Amino acid sequence: MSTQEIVWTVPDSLYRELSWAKEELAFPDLRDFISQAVQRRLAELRHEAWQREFRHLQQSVATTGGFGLGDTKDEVITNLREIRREIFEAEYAHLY
Amino acid sequence: MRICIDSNQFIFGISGSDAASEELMLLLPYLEVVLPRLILKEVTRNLSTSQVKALYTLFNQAAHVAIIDEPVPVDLVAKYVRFNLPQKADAVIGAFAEWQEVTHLISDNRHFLAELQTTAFEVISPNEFLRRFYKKEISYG
Repeated sequence: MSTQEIVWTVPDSLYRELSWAKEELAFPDLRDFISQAVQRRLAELRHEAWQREFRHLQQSVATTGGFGLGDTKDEVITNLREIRREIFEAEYAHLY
Repeated sequence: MRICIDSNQFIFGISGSDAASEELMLLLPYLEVVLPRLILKEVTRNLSTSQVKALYTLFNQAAHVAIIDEPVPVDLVAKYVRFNLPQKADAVIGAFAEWQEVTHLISDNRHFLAELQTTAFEVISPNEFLRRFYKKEISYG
């Protein structure tokens, strides 16, 4: 793995907080602690972006009238079962 | 822990008509999920081209969601046909779940919930899945 050495100047107060957190969470050194914190935050940001895109899809589907499969859960499941049967008969039945 | 999610969960989750299904969707990036192409075809049938693209983009961005195109082995399908499920297509979904070694198939399909009794995997509702997930009885992917 290639690495990049950096010099990072931080306020004393932040350094004290980082050092305290490192001790409390039993990390061997500050580098490990900061690396994991950054990785975790990046994962959170990716998940937040994913959720935003999911909400956009929800809005888009709602705006265009939904899936058109019925108003109740039972209606939706009944219609989905019919769709499953149609797709299966058209595209998969010959395999089985 | 690997799971399979039935098409009804995507419909309820995307339409926002069921809180548990919607929450399940929002957890997708944290889960290891395998989906047969048949389920995706059911979900996307009534979506526009741009909505289908958006859905596939979401799947691509979820690191542990895999869509399987390979046909399910015939002998496994025959095994699930013997469970007397109402449709052969349901048997294919059951056989897919066993073939892909999932631990749970999440569905609101009452035929699955009532009739698909197998030791290979467990069929559970989204509410039950979430209860176990948050109790950490089901772990991250």
